[in-house]
Amino acid sequence: MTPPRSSAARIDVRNLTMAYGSRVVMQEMNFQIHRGEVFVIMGGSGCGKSTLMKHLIGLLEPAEGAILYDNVNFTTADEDERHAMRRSFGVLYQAGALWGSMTLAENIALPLEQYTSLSRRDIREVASFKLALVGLNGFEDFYPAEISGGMRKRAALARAMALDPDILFFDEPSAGLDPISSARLDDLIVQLRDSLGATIVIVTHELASIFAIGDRCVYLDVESKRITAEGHPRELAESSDDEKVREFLNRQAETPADHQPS
Amino acid sequence: MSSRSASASTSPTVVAKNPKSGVRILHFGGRWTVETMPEIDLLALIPEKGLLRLEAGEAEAVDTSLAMTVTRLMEATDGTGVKVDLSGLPVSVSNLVLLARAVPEQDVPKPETTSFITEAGKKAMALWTSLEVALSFFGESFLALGRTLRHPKTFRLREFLVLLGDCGFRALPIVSLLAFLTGLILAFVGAIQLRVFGADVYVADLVGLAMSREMAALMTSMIMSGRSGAAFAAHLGTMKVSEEIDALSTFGFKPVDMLALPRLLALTLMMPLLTLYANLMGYLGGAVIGYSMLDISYSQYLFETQTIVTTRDISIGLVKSAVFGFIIAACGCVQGIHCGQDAAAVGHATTRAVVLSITLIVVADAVFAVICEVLKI
Repeated sequence: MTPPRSSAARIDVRNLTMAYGSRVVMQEMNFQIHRGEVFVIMGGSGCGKSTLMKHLIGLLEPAEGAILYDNVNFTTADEDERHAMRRSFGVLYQAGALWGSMTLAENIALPLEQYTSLSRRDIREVASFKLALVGLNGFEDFYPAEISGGMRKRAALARAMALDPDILFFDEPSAGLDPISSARLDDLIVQLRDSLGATIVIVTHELASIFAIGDRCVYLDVESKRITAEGHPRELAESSDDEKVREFLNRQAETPADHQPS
Repeated sequence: MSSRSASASTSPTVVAKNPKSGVRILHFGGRWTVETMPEIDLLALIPEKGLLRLEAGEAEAVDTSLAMTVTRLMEATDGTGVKVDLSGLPVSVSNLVLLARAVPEQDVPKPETTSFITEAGKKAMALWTSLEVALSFFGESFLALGRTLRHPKTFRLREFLVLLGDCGFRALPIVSLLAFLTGLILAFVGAIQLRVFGADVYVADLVGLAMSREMAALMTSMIMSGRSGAAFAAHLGTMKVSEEIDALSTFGFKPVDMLALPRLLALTLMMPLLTLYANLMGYLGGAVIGYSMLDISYSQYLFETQTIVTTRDISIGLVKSAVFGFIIAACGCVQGIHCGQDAAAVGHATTRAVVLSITLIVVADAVFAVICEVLKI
């Protein structure tokens, strides 16, 4: 069931199989992510969502299949080509993964120092601007350990945007955030997409986020180790052929409490 | 009031009744709690077929233990054709039983049972893999040095200076203490022997040569592997766990360039300086013993040391110490970068870094001894 190839796909995942050693995590995955869309990778805990993201950004190698960016094969590319392709990625890790030995401004400045020829003062200004975008102006000289979890996540988002990427990857953006912070992060993600025209890939199982911002999603099924649904989250919630996907999106579970003793 | 001293009516009981053929009623009475789990062979009470009705009307206290007992009974009746009726049980108990039995059957991956030979093979393969990792790190670190020399802008000077301080002057107090004591001990042991022959003044020779050629470098490297090697492994391991190293990679930074190279350079540069300092502290320790036990004046001790210790002896110690410094930093960085994904893995990485570096240092020292012997230096 190979979907039709479209040249508009920003990311094209072809027949991807992921495995740790001989243990297959997910197999024969095929999907495409289009430019400017908010694409959600969802599934139950431990189904391999984060693993899939690590494959997409090249931290893990596929056991089989390939990942293409703008029809250029990322999987078979050599280190230099990958390096060039990665420059258009921004990644937000689950816990932020800010570099603890640097201040927030330095965290953002590091990639800028590496890849641009801006002067020290300009870099500082760009860093302040990016922090302002996520509502953290004034926190330039704080260390990651000195700010709250939600702020750390936003600062990490600012760092992910340091090089004006056109694909942003989010690993469980709302994990560990209170509902208000996580809603604010969702808003921020949509604003970024609208103002930067970036493609957004989100790994999450937060239903509120999925429905609020997801344009399209895939469901990774842990039992069959395959993608069992693809489409708009609301449509899937109402009319997916797969019962498990509907249950997931409607937050239902067959609990034993339903079976009252007769 | 203790439940143990309570009368027989509060200890758990099971009464079996057969009101009519094909029906057996098990009535649970008394206190069914985890503390008072009875040792009754319930399985013997299961009929061969028909209806098994469970009741627990008068139980004074019921917790998991009754639910566990009932679940065990039901498991025993599975597939025997006995029908179990739970309606006589309190709702809380029957719900717990249903909940426990509702867990879907999953194909739980069975832990692989392997033979001794398979295990031995796996261990050998793991050893080989770790050797490959170490070798590729060794090569990678030289490539990193080359890359950094070509693009000096990428080198993070400020972080390097902090590392120099950590591996350098912040270690001075502990190096002072241990080197001083090492000199003291060497002199003390030597003094007892040499005094017998009236060769007291040769204590200075003994301490001078031993410190310069061997002990200063060895003691300093032991301190530094416990201090800096462990710190490198723990720091990089924690960075790995919190995905900071992944974050570096996705920005196209090489962890070896960014993290390992500054540490390798810092420790390789600082170890000879610390060793030189340790030499002086060792001589001082020897001189103190010479003065207090053997009545050798400080100037006499210094003169004797100067006549016997040559620049070559000191240089050998310094060259060794630079190599040891590289070994310590490399072990710490490799273990840290290749650390697992949880807190325990950071601990393992740190342990491995220290054990591995001390082992390699002693091996390297033995190699140096052979080289020096062959070259007659």
